[in-house]
Formats: sequence, C-alpha cells, structure tokens
Amino acid sequence: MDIKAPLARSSYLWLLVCVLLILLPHISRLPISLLAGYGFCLIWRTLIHYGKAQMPHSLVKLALIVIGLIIIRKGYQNLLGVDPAAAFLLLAFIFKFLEAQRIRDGLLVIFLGYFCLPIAFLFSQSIVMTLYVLVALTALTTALVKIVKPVDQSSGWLDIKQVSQMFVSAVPLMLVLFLLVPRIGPLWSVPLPSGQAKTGPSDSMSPGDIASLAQSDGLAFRVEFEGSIPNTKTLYWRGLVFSDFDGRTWRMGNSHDQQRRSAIWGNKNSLLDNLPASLEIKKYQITFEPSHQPWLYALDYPVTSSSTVGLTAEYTLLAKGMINKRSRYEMKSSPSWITDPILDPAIRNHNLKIPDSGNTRAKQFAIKTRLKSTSDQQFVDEILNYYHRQPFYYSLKPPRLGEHSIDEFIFDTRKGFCEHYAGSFVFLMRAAGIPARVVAGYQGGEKSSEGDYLLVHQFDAHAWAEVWLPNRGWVRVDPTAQVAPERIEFGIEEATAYENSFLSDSPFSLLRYRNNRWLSQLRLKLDAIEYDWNRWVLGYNANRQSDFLKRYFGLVSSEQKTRVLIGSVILFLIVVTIFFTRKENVKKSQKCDQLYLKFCKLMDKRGVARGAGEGARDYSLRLIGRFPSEANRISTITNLYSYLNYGPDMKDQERKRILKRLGHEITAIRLSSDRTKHG
Amino acid sequence: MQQKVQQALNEISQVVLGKEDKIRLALCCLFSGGHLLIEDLPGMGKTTLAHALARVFGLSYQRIQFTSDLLPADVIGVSVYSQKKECFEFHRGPIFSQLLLADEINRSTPKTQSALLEAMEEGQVTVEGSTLPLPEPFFVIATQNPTTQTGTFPLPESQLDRFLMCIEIGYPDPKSERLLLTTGGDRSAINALPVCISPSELLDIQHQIERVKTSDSLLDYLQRLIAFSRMPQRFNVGLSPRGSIGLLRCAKTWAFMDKRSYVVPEDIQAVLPAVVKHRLHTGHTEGEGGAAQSLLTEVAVI
Amino acid sequence: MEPGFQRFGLHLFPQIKAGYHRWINKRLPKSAEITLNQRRIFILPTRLGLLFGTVLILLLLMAINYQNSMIFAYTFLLASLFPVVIIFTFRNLSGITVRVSGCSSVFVGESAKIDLTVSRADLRQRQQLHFEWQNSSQVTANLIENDQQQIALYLPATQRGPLKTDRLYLHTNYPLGLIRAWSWLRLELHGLVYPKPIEADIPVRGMYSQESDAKKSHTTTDEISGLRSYVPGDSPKQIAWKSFAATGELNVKQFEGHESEHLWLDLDEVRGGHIEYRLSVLCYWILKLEAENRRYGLRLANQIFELGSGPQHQNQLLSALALFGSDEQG
Repeated sequence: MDIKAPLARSSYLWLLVCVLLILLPHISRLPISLLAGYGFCLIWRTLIHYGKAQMPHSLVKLALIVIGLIIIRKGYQNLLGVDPAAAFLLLAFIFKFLEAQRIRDGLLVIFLGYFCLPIAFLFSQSIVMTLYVLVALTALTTALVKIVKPVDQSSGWLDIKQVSQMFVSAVPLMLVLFLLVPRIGPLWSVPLPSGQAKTGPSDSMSPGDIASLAQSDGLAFRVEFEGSIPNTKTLYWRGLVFSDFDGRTWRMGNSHDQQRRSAIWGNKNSLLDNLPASLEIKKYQITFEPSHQPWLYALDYPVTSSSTVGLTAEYTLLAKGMINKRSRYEMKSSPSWITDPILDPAIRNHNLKIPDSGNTRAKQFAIKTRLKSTSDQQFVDEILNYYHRQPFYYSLKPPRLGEHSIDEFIFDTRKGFCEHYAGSFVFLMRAAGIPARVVAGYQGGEKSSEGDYLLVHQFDAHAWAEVWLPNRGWVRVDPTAQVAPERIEFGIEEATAYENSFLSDSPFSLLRYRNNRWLSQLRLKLDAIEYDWNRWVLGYNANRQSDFLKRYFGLVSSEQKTRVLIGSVILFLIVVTIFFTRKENVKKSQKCDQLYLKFCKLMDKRGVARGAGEGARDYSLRLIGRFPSEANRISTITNLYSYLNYGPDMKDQERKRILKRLGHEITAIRLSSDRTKHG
Repeated sequence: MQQKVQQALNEISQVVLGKEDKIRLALCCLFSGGHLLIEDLPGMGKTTLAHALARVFGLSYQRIQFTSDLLPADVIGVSVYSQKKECFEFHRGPIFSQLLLADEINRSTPKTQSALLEAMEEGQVTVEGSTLPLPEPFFVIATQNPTTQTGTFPLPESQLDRFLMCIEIGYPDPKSERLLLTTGGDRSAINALPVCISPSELLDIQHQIERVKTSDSLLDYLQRLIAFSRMPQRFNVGLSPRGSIGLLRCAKTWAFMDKRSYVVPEDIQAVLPAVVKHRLHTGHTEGEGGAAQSLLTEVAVI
Repeated sequence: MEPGFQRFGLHLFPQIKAGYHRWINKRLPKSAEITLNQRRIFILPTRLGLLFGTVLILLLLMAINYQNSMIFAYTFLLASLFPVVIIFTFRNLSGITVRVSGCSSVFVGESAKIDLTVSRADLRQRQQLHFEWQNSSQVTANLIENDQQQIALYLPATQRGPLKTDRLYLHTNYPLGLIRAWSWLRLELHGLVYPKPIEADIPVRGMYSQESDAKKSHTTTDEISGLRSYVPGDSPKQIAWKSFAATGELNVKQFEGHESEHLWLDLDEVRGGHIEYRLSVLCYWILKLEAENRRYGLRLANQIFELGSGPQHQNQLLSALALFGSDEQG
C-alpha cells in the first residue's frame, strides 16, 4: 500500500459517512456556532470531491483552526472540561477530513475516528448508544478496508459482512478481557462531564417545587432489598431535612459544608453496634442515577455509613461530592429506632423557630388548638384531623399563594401538594411549641417486572413532617396521608387522577400509560434490561470484578487471575485459528468422494493402496485379485461410487439413497476386515 | 449397435493377429470421427491394419504411397490443359475417397504433407480458386516410420495435431507370431473381410456417442489432466484445446464401446496415451510414452 | 522489500542479513509451483498496526481515567480485533498456489515476461495479493469469484544464461492494513537469456566465407537447372512460358537448389572482442539467417550443431549460445 498515493474517490464517501456518524451524538451538546463551523468544513470537502472547490490553502487552514479555537473558548467557560476537549478533538478530526487528499490522510482520519468515537460514551453509556457506536465502528472499519484496497472490485456489502465477521469473532476475547483485565483507579484526575440539569429535591423548598418535580418521569434510583420488598406505605426515602423557614421557603439548617464536616464517614457499623439487638434492620442496595447534587436517600432511619456515604446528625445521607455518575451503595435502616430520645436544646430551639411576623391566623389557630389538647400527641392528632375534616384537596396544580402563604393555604385555598401540607403542618407544630421539621425525599416506588427490585422515579418525590415527642424522639407524620391517602398507598398517579394532571407535560412518557397493561409491561421490561445493563455492565468496577471472579470462578489471588487471563487468550487464539483456517468444502460431490476415500484408506490398511492416478475400476480389479472373497462387496462399492460420481443426472432423493447404501457397504466391509484381523 | 462394433473388432483381429487393444483404439478413433496416425517400424502390419479398417467399414478407399518426390498434385489432383476442349480440366486425385490410406506420410516433402493435412482439417480441397468438397465421411489413416529413420521429413507439430490419435502397433506376442508364421501372413484374407458397419450405421453410432454423459467430476479430472500437461516445467507444449476436446470425444466413444452411457476416468485413461502421444513432448528423452505415463500416474483421479 | 529489515533497522547489519537470507533460502526451497502454508508465510504488524496499538493505549488511558465501562469494552473490542486480523490476513495468503505458467526467453537488455497463475483450492476469497520483484512495479491479484488468475511480471534480463530471479515478494495487508503477511517465492524458471544481437561480419569458416552468399537473397538470379511439369500451386512466374509456347506442355523452371548455401557459423571466426561480444555476433547471424530462410549450422568450441533451419533449430542454437560456458550447457 502506497500511503502517498491519492485517496480513491470511493473511499471519500465512506469517510464522510464515518465523520457524520461520529459527529451525530454530540450535536445536541455542541454550540451552534461550532456546529456551523463543522458543517462548513464538511460542505467544503464535499465540494472538493465534486471538483467545485480547491483544497484549502495552508493559511486558510490556520485561520480556520484559530476560529475554531476561539469559538470553543467562547462557547465553554472552562477550557479544561470534557465538553471543550471533546469539541476540540472533533474539530481536529473534521479538519483532518477536510484536508484528506492522500491515503495517509485517510488513514489518519480513520484512526482519529477510532479515538473520537468513544467520546460519546462519556456522555451516555446506554444500550442504545452502545449499539450506535457499534454501527459507527463497523462503518469506520469498513472505510479502513476500502482504503486498504484502493482499486475496489467487490461491493460494500461484502466488506461490511467481512468486517462484521471479524468483530463477531473478536467478541469472545473482548468479554474475557472485559471481565479479567484488572481495573485500576484513575491515574490522574480528570474533569467529568458537567453542566447537566440537577434532578431531585434541591437544598431549599418553596411551594410548587416538589409539584414540578412530580411532573418528571426520570428515574431517581433503584433499590434491591435483601428479602422481600416492604409495603409501599412504609417506604419513605429521606434525603433532606429542612428546618429553617422564612415565611415562604424552607431551607436546610446547616450548609452542605457544615453537614459534611459533622457527618459520620466510614466506620460502617459504629451506630449499629450501639443499637439494641432486637431492632428490626432492613438491608438494601441503591443504584443511584446521577443527580448532580450531593444528597443520597435511605429509608427511615439509616444506621450505617461508609467512606463514600456519610450519615448526618439529621439522619440523612450525604455523598462526598456531587453525584455525577451512576453510583451504588449499600445501606441498612431501622424503621423503629428511637432517634434523639433527648433533644439537644440548641436543636430544639432551631426546630421551634418561625418568623415573628406574618401568618398570624395560623399561629393563633395552633395555640388555640394546643390549649384544647391534653398532650402533644393529641395536638398532632387534632391538626391531622383538621386536614382530614376540612375540604383540602391534593393537587399538582395548586393556586399561587401570596405573602402569608401558610394562612392562605390553611384557611383559604386548601389546595396543595405535599410540600404545602408538610410545610403548613410543621409551621402549626412550631407555633404550638412542638419541635418539628420538614423532610424531603421520595415516597413509594414501583416494583420491577420481575419484582426483584424497586424503581423510584422523580414523580415519587415527596415531603413530609417530623415532630419530636418526648420519649419517642422524632416521629414521622405525613399530613398528606390525611388528605390523599391514595398518594401514600398507590402513588401520585392515583392521587391526582381526578384532575388528570399526572405527567401532563410529557405526553410521550411511557409512564403516562401505566394503565395499559401491555405498554406497562414493555416499559418495565425495558427498565429491567437497562437496570441489568447498568448494574452488570456499566457498574463493573474493581470491586464488582473481584466479587464476580470470586463468586463465579473462585479466583482470588491476582496470580490466579493472570493465569486464567492468559489461558483464555491462548484458548481464544487457538479456537479462532482453527475455525478460520479449516479446509472449506468445495464441491457438492465431495460427500461421495469422502466416502470412497474412506474405503480406499481401509483397503490401504489392508495392504493395497490406490495410486493417485488410479481410477476406481482399475483399483477394484486389483482389490478383487487380492481379496477374491470380497469381490462382490468391492465391485458393489465401486459401481455405486462410479454411478454416483460419473453416472447420469439423478434426483437428490435418489442420490441420497445411493449415498446411504454406499455408506452401508463401506461400514460392512470395515466390520468384516475387523473380524478377519481379530479372528 | 455394440454387437456390430464387436463384430468388426473380431473380424479385424482375424487379420491383424494379437493386437486387439490397438484395433480397439483404431476403431475408437474412427467412431470419434478423427484421423488416425499409425507410427511404427516398417513391416509391423500398419498397412494391413489400415486396409482391414477400410474393409470392415465398407468405405471407398484409396492408397497413396508417399515418397520424397511425391507432389501435392499427386494427392489432390491436377488441372491439365485439354487441347480438345481448349481449357484446363481438373483430374481428381486419390484424396477424393472416403478413406485415404497415406502410407509412410513422412517420406514426402513438407509441401505435399501440408496439402494433405489441409484437406484433412477443412474437409475440402481448394484448387485454383474453386473449392471442391471431399466425400462424407472422410477419414485419413496415415502411417509413418519413426522419425529417427533416414530419409524422413518429420511432420510439424501443428499438423500432427490434426490426427486425433497416434498408435503404435508393436511386435506381436510369440503366440500370434507363431500363427503368423504358420499362415504366412495371408494378405488376401483382407479382401475377404465382410463389411460390418455401413456408413449410415456409422453416423448412427456417432449420434449415440454424442449422448454419452460426462459428469462434473469427470470434467474436473479431465481439466486436471489438461492443466498438468500445460505445466511448462514438465512439457514443452501443453495439450491444445483441440487435443482436449479430442480426448473427451475419444473417452466418450470408449465408454460407448464398453456399453456404458457415461464416461468414467478409466475411459479417459484408456485413450489418453494414443491421443497425447504425438501432442506432448517432455523435452527430456525419458523414453516413449513418458508423457502419457506421468499424466496417468501423477494426476489425481479423485 | 523485506519489511522486517527496514522496520527494525536490521539492514544495517550485513552479517545478520546474510544469515537471515540463508535461513530463508533453506526454509523456502525453489520450486515451479508453490502452495503457501504456515511454513512459508511470515507475519508482522505494519506501521499502521503500531499506530493502532498507540490508539489502543490512549483509549485505555481514557477508559481508566474516566472509569467508563463502555470505553473499556470498546478498547478491548478493538484490542481483540488485532489477533483476529492476524488470522484473517494469514488466511488471505495461505492456501494460495502460485505456478509459473509461462516464461519467455529473451535477449540481454530486454525484459522477460513471466506468466504466473495464482489459484486457490478452496472457496475462500482472497484479495489484494501483491507481487513484487525487486525494483519493479507491483502487480495485484484478487481471487473473489474466480478460482484462478493469470498475472504477468516483467523481469529485466541483464545477464546471459539461464534466467535468474530474485525471490519474488508476495505480500498482503488485507483486510485492515494493520498486519502484513508475506512470503518469498523462489520460483524455478525455465527461461533463457540469449546474448544481445550485435551486427558484425559473418563468422563463417574460410571455405564458406563467401560474403556474397549471405547477402544473396532468395531471388531468381540463380541458374535454371531444368524444367519439371506443372503442379497446382506453383508460382505463375516460374512457369516456362517459352517452352509452353513451343511444346504445349506446361512446365516449371527449376532453379539451382539452395543446399550449396549451407553456412557454418563458428565462434572462432568472430574477429576480436570479448567472449560475450563474440556470442552476440553469432546470435545476430542466427537471427538473420533464420529470417532469410537459410540452412545454417553452428560450431561452438567443441559443440557442433548440424545444419538445419526452422524455429526449433534456431531455438536450439540460441539456447546453446545462452548456456555457453555455464554448467548447464549441452
């Protein structure tokens, strides 16, 4: 291959297809100006192909590169991120394509393509993306084949077939490498893709926040329980605790940094050791989707922590940093644990604070009701009763509230989502002198198609209240349950069915059609596949690797693993070599020849070998001379063979019949020769 | 039909003693519609065989003894100026017969040889601008002395190719020789031979031979043979397409004479030495039949 | 040529190279028909293959640093492709039979045409089989639908004698160009290189050295030796019209035969010059006399070739000239 020879015209189209395939996954992420630039280069190259334009002058090339760099600089604030790096690589790739003139340039484009193609995986590793990359990889490799054979004679399909055959043959070894090659940690820290929308509850809660979250069908996390999945009613996934209220918005009591510092990290079982042994403990694993926030979720009340998952004083979980990729953690929770039996006075004061001004009607209502009640517990029940008795509505589209939001909600509008109920309830509690706070997280979940894990979506977002009662510690109270018990039991869709507002913003979401059994099953099936994909394929890291190898192959030491790795590679090479260099059959009459040659071999063993140029008839004459007792059989075999091989045309059926008979005769003669040998 | 063939074979064997295999080959050649070259030393019965063949086929035949002073006109005929008619008149030569016996063909000059050989290929003769057809069927049975003999003009390869077969007769076995010695080689017996196959029957036989089946496997073998013959390091000149067509045609005839409706490799092997003898040369002096022998033993049948 | 050497710089060490060539020659015996098997096929990655390796390392770094499972999988897939490509490249070459199907004899200074038949015994496709002599252009064969292909290579003949060839370099990098499989074919050629014809005085022995004889062409200036009767096909120019008018018989003039013009070319009669020059002169005259349809013989030191004419005779004499002084003469 002369790499300085000009690139064949047929190669150009293949390269263009490859460039487009590699560019496509990034289109939604790239700045418009940069996309326009890429498009300009591609159009220019196409014009060159059709002889309508000249190759760019080297000054022009320089200018284009500078412009590209400026656009990237302007488009991204941080030049060190993944996005600008990807944009730059794509720029280089397209530039090389623009100036591709010789075979060498074409090869460089292909190899840059090999490097640029998997960048798409940094942004998505879904099954669809994987299939897409496989298609693009096949196209890229086919383009390489096209360049390697400049004067093309065969059709593109043949090459695609051959390339696919090669990839299919490579898959077993790839699996071995994927499973066995030791996974090491990052060699140096790299910026991860960022700038994506945060999902899930945020660090503050204003009326309407959770309602808007509930319009999203995105997946929050998946849970796998050890043992059966508990009743949906009891599944409160706590994530954030809001204890500051300014009259409108609930905020967290401590900043993220403070929380992180005060949280318990590592030392997995420290809390557990101090707990009474009789406590019920639930074990489960959560696969958490990237939320770009630091909060993690657990059932009431989490009792363990790890080096990556911290436990805060408010019994919430915290990650070390923002959760930018799918992560997995194991958790233990104890639903009946009495938390904070004695409340620290500072915390008590913090959880009693309400703004001095405003919402006076609510304050008065709380004090009046408290005076009527004999105990805190009775007061709580009274208020819950109030929500139950009065015409409160559970709604995803609550009316807007004014300055005195609590007053307006409790006495006027009475239409609200869980944050309205939780917020107003905590306000009433605090007004009456009972420490209370708002907890935000998720409630419920959907069982997977196989029923082996639970899916928690964004629309499962929920807010509820916690009150501190003497001797009972923090007690969870969910005022929403008084208004819309079906929300807690069956989920939000049931609770809002009357106003048909569930997922009304996303008409194409499969989740909207949960009542259609078939669609519902399809959706859950797809999710099950994606779950397994995420769990087994994407989540296959160093830990999982060692678990997997230990559990299924009993491999523990790295020496063993290395041996198995090398052994598998060698085995693969042997199998593939044998498979691809085996003798391919040539003729359809070969079957008949094979049978006859078997016969010849048999006779050879008995001392009469057939010469290469000896025909069947001549050979049979010699054989009969030597073994007169078997003359009949020998001549039958010879006649059958001659008739099959040289005789008139016959139907396949007859051919098969004669072949069968020939086989029988040869078996018979072998048996008889065995007998003579032994006899 | 095969009985008639057998009968012809038997009749000729009465005259040419102990050479049944050669007679069979000669018959095969004629049934295949090809010309026959018989090559051997003088006095081996070449002429006798040729005569006997002509008799049993009931063909009109002429014999020319080729000598070094024989001219083309002696074979083809000559235009002579007739003073009576005041024009040239063409006198037909001996070539205008169904079977021409060209004895000792390599004793004449190349010019005369080529005059004959052109007629053999075209089936017609061109004299002074006008074309005269030769009778149907038209066979040439030529005999020649081994080229090592003095006073011979070897036939060029291009012309040898026109003979379908070239056979040697060889010395008779002792038993036949004894018989020959006792009967004294009675030539008159030839004239007493009956006609076994009429020209129309001959055409009929040729039709039947056309229908003999050749399978793919057989053609594969044939092509292997041809390819082998064209290996430059083994043979000076490979088998020409005409030669390979002839080989297949003879093999078909051989299968027909063996009362079979399909050709087997042995048929090809049986006729191959005679068909390739004058066509292939090993270039080495490894004895006669070396070329055919290596083809037969070295080319795989299966 | 010899990719291994240039790539690894081994060509700088002549001893290694000589030893390597000895090893190759022993490993690859000379033959007129060569079927490629694992014994004859060598395999090494090309520069492109090394570049591919570099890309793989970069991809692995990306996968490790981003801890991205799919990039790991992608990298491993491409890495696994490498051994598969080795096998595909190998099988693109193995099972090929190369046979010399023709080889012309030429004069020094010309290029000998060597016909090769490339064939396969199986149904596997073969593509991009490149044949290359040293210092000559590349010829490519493909066996896709066809079971065999004829290719012609041209080999410049520089030295009189048997046509000598270097090893023929047969290589392929199909399908991906990452791996090169190659073999050297040591083909047995049966061609001869005749001396280059050089014009000079005719080298014939004294008694035959009638220069006029050679220059005389086959014309009618010969004496008439007699008449014979007309035979169809005789040239009308040769008919003795005078005698026809007189006798009414159609006769043809017969000329003195050319048998007296037998010419014995003799190596010792060539004046001066190097042995190659003298052979060249003989070569010139053999060609010239054959073109003039003369009968001629040749004396080469102690070899004597009888009088004769015709292409076969000419070839015999030219071959003798070609092989004169070499081991294979006679």
